[in-house]
Amino acid sequence: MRHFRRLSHTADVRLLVRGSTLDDLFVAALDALNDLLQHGFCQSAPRLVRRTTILAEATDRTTLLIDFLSAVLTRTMLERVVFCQVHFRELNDRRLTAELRGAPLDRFDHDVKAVTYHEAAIRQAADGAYETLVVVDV
Amino acid sequence: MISRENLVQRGPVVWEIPPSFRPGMRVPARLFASAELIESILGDRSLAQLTNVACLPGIVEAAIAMPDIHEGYGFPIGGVAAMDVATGVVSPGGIGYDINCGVRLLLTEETAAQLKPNLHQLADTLNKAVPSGVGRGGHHPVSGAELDAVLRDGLGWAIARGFATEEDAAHIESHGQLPGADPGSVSNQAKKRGHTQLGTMGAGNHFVELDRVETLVEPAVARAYGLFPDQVVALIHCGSRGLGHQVATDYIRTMLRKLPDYGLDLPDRELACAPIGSAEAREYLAGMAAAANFAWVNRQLITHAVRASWKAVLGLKASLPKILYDVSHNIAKRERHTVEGRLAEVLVHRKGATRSFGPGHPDVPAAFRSTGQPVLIPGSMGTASYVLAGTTGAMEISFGSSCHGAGRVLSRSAAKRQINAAALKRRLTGRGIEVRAGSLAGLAEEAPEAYKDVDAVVNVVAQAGLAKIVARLTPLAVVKG
Repeated sequence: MRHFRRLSHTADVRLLVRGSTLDDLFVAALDALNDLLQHGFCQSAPRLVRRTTILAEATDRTTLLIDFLSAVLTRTMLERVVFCQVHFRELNDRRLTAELRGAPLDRFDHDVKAVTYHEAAIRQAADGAYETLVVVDV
Repeated sequence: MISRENLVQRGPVVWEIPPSFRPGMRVPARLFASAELIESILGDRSLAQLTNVACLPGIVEAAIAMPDIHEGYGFPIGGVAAMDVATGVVSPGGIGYDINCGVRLLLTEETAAQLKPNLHQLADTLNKAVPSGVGRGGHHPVSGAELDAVLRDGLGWAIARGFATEEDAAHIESHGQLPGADPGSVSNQAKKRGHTQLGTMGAGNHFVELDRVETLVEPAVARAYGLFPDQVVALIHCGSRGLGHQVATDYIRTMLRKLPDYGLDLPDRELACAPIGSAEAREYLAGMAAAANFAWVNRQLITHAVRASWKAVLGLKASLPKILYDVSHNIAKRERHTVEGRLAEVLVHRKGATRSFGPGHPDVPAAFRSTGQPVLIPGSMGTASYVLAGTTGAMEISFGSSCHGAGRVLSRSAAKRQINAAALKRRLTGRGIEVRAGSLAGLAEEAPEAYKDVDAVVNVVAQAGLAKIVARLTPLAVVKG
């Protein structure tokens, strides 16, 4: 199970992200970010002709998640590519190696300035799913 | 959540949450607001975020909120926090990701009546001349040593290249160049994100706008500023684009990792900070200054485009718009203020707040030394904007600061759900306002209903003595990404 939805925030975007596993949670967070960049783009099955690899290390999995999303955002803004697909060669509480595939995009729905650490805290809910809030500056 | 019962009234429009409210608060949280505005302010988490700011090491006097305050992430938007330079911290979140986002006002010699036949063409020309939209590049890509010169020299670079004059620089906060800027403190990724974006507006709530001077409230100050009734002025609102966003991202990440080394335990990770004297803080401030210089050059190149548009539409003999002033509303500055009866050097964080220095202050440009600096408050699209004058009173109660805008009340998604963008555009054009918007969804997000009443916000600023109202402006043309 992977899921995200938007919650209310006065000026920016507050996302609730959930996944059955840590891997699913990270993928759901990427889906949520991409949906902000352009709604429906990844669902339109674009040809994923661009590849990149992201390595990240952090002291805890929440920081790791935000650092991962920040790195993806930076690559997106530099290359004007939305990375719709990710495979985690390695993912644990402190380290990840992600292989991403994406498609070029020349129009964005939002000026996503940054993925913030604000309110982010990965926890396991009563149903066992991993979840966290992610607040994005737009 | 904070409720009205937690607020102690200290003056007609001054409220405080005392440090006893929760453990860790070192100073009170101080809010400038009317009783009516407080209702909307209590509707989000902005005051809770303000109490978190009050926990930061070295903060002095109070964590301060302007009447346009709204929820942010870490620091609220519309806040001021001053830190003792010896014992305090710098927190990049207290400046924001859009380093030196700010507002510039250009004076023209035309009245709205005179410009009316050309307004449509001017709006079209401005729309073409000023690139806008997310991640969009502009007409002045720079890289390598040239980009480093922009980051280091700010307006100095623009003057050397013929995009600005010394007179322009004299009418910009800090002369459009923060000292201590170091291009080496800006990552390669930040440079790559920004190097094609000079002279571009971006998107969201950024704009270029033509307004008319509707009302002069302080005629003598208005005359000193060069304002007259029915005058057309131009407002530019934008910042440091992707370069600034990346600088902030880089240093928040760095400081978060170093928190344990400094024994810092914070109520919110996004308040990540470092002692002002630390290597991380010094590097951040040097990078922040570089990004700030980038933003001033950005607004200067847009000014250049506005001037070119003026010539293109009104003819080569038209007088070109002149800068009244340019204020930053996301920045940190070393300043001297009276703290507990002593003059002290503090690092003032302003995130969604502007300087409002009064008459006689040495940092106020010579042209405004007798009146106080201009304070520029853009309202939401389609409502009103204001020019105010800084006061000596602001130095005593807000570290010489004022608000920066109207402040949001509706989330972007709520605005898009509730407001029909096409109908909004028709409403604005029905009032004679020329609208050029890159995105109808973006237009809905920026609708007047999404913001506080700017008249109410500015009235609080005036009533609190933070700034004096000089003129009220209403829009003629809005150009947005």
